[in-house]
Formats: sequence, C-alpha cells, structure tokens
Amino acid sequence: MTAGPGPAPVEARLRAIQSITDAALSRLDDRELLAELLDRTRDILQADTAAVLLLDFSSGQLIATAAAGLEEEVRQGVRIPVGRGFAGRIAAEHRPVILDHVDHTTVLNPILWAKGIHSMVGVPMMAGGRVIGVMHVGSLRPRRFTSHDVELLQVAADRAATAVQSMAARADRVAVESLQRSLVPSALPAVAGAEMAARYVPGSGVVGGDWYDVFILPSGDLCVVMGDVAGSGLPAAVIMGRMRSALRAYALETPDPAEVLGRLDRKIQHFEPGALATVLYAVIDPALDQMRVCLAGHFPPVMARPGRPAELAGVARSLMIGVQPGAPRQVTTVPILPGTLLCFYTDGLIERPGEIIDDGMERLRRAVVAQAPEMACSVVMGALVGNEPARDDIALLMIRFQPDRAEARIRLLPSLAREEVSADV
Amino acid sequence: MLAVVDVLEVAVTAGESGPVMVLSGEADVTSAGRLGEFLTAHLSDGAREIVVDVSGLRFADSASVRVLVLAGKTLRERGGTLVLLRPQPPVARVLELMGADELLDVRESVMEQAAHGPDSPDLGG
Repeated sequence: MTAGPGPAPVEARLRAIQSITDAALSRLDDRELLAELLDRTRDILQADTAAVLLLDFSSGQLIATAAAGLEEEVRQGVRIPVGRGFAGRIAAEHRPVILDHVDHTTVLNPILWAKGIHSMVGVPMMAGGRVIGVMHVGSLRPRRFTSHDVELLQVAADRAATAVQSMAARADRVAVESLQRSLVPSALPAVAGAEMAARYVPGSGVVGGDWYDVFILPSGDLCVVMGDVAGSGLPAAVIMGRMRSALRAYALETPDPAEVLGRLDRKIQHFEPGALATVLYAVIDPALDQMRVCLAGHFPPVMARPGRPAELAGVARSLMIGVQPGAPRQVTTVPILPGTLLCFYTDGLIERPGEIIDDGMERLRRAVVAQAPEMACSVVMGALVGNEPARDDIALLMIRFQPDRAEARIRLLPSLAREEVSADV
Repeated sequence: MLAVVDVLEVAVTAGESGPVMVLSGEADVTSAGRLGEFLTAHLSDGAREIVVDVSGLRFADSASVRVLVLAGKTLRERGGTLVLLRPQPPVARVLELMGADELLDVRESVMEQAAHGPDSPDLGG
C-alpha cells in the first residue's frame, strides 16, 4: 500500500474508521476503548503515534489520557494549558491544526520532540458544542498531512468524543448513586416509643442531592434532617455529604435547631460558597412529647393525629442554607400527642409538572394516615408515585409515636446491649 | 433508558441593563442543569443584572428555584441583582413556600423597584 491517499483508499479508510464503533468495542471499558480506537486510527492513517488528551474543566488543562506509540505521555501525566502549544491551540480555536515541522516553537510537550516526531495533525473532540479534548497523530518521518487525513482523524475524534461522554455519564451516575446510598442511614435508630420507616428513590431523570438523616444525641434527643442540595450529579452529592457531616457535628454542640442551621449556613457560605440547600432540622425531646423544628426553605412536615385528618405542621420559615450571612432563623415547637404520625419528605415526592405545589401537598396530606410507619410509607408512595418513574430524588421518613404515653421513653439501644435493654423496657 | 422530556424553552435578548432571559414551558429537575448553564454563561460574562422573564413559565419546581437563587446570590455579591419578572401563580407559590421571594427581586415590570429584596439590608429580619 502506498502512502499517497487517492480517492478509493480514502473511502476504504473512512469505512475502516467507521468500523471503530463495532460491537466488540462497546464491551471495552473507558481506557481500553480509547486505546483500541487510537491503535486503529494510527494504522489507518499510517502514522507512528496517536494520542487523546481530555480537557479537565476545573483546571483548564488538557490531560494525556490515552496514547498509541506515545505511551510515555500518559504515564508521565502530561498536562497542556488550553491556548498553549499544539494541542492547546486546537482546543482554544476549536479547529484542526497541521504541523509540517515539529519543534519547540510549535509544540510545548518535550516528549514529542524527544521522540523525534517530525509532522503532526490534531483535531478537537467536541460534545454538545464544547471542546472536551484533542486527538492527534504524528509521523516520525517528514510528511505533509492532507485535508483527507484531517477528515479521517475528525471521524475518529467524533467517535472518541461520543464514547468518552457516554462512559463519563455512566460512571458519574454509578458514583453518585453509591455515594448517595452511603449517605442515607443504612438502618434507622431503635427508639422505644417511636417506630420509623423510610423510602429513598434516586431520580430517574437526574440524580439530585437529596438526603435524610436520623440520629440520637447523647442527651437522648431524636434528630431528623431532610435536605436537598442545589444542582445534580456528583458535585451535588459531594456537597450533600459535607452538609450531612457538618450538621451532625453542630447537632452535638448545641441543642437549638436554629443555632445548628445557623452554624451550618456559616460553614457552607465560607467553605462552599457555590453551594445552596433547603434543609429541615427537627429535634424531638427524649420524652417524645414535642418537636422543635427549623425550616430553611424546606417544605413543612405533615402531621397526622389518630382519628383526625392529617395537617401540614404550622412551622415558621427561614431562608435557605448558603444564601445570606446571618439570616435570622426561627424555631417552632410542635406538641406531639400519643399516636401521632409525622411525615418528612423532599420536594420530589410532591412536585408534578404542570401542577401548583399546593395540589401536591394536598395529595400528600390526604394520603398520610396515623398508622404503622411501614404501611404509611407504602400508602404514600403508592398514592403519590404510583408506577411513574419519579424524575427527581424522593426521600420520605415516617415516625409514629406510641399511643401509650407511659411506655414512650426514648431509649438508646447500643447494638451489643440490645437484648438487655429491650428486656428492661 | 427513560426518555426525559425537557420542555423548558430559553430565549435570551439584550436588555437595557443586562441580558434578559425569557423562560417558557416548564422548568423542572430535568431542565435545571441547562438553566444553570445559561445563567452561569451570563455570570461569567460579567453581567451585574440579569432579568429572568418567567411570565410564560407554566411550572417551576424547587430544583429550578434553587438554581435561580444561587445565580441571584452571585449577582448580589457583585453588587447586582437577579430580577424575576411576572411569575404566574404556580411559580409564585413555590417561590413563597421556599422563601425565595425574599431572596430574588420579584417584579411585575422591569421599571418597578422591588418592595423588598436584595436591595434592602434587613432582609427577613
């Protein structure tokens, strides 16, 4: 085969590159797929080296991610700032660049000259109108890359861009879901006098930043947190994790729910200035006869007393977390009668497109009945979610207080002493 | 894979004191990311005031409201404001329930001065 690309060979080579999407490739993981793609691209273009650099959006640098004949670029973690050097120029200008003579004036990366690469051609990898990386090939002998070569390389780069995007999205979703699941309680605390049940369903459209938390303080207070972080995906899940642990730490320091949210707000505004969340924080006394609750932009809990229709708890509202320094926060004390069921939730449960929010709240209010919490959860999920995949995350927590007040003492049941303590009740 | 229908439409025009984003359709969790990207693009262009005309928005969920409040916060920190124009009842109600009406400059017209909002120092006090 000669090097001169006539019309027929170009067509054949184009077909060869298009074959890069074949089924065998789809079974390879991220890096293997890129490596295989580069191998084939290098062969088809009769080049000596091929490499993919992906853009790291936070640093604005291109990072060598896969290479054929130029593996040291990846092993040494080469980074090229956008706008500088050969690859940096391609990324900045969103267009192919051909270099007939590689030298230090045109190429930033010393590995390329040390390797003895003489000529290069590179193209941008685009996704959704944005540059996500650069693919380039190089020749050790003098060679004039042609517009046909550019065209072929662009086809390969487009395949690579699609593959990278879809794999990144899949990997993100898996990471977010496992992170989210690790951040909601694996088991609800055992409390004498209160039964609990919960549901947690990640959104089918996007994975958001919902979390809930239930824990008991050394004082015997039973604490409930429902929260929803602005944004979605991995960044939101990471913020959610930080909020959850900060809130737990402040809960240990002060019994006042408004103070806990105030400290959380200050911490978030200082250390996570781009974060915002709606949060409910409630502290239920050890005697289980009252709840002190503070709402930061979150929706109020629903309360069902036995034999009476459920109602939205009348709770004072204060501003979301992460917006305004020193925002005033008010605590509302809600008396809890024996047999009462409390329902805490995130917005994904009640919001439906095309509907006013009050309709969703009303549907929830009607569905909440003072009964065993597992059953109450099932009834609410059945009534509000049904068989529809929810677009947003849903978190739901039900707590029912024992009808017999004499038995209603909160107990901390350490796992080792569970039997003795239970026997003692 | 579930097909998610994103029915938010965004049109951007140049207003007197900054960009005007006209939202129509429905803004929910599936469009919140895109809404955030639009706002971020204007924020990184250095805008001090962004007008978001929501009069044609039939629905907005709390995920979308959080995105708007976050952009409003960034604008306020640079001495600017996010003006939310003519929210219809379903949108106004979510804003109210989340306390976002106190955080955004909600107006009936671009000319009107907000009764309260980012300009008043003792917000919510």
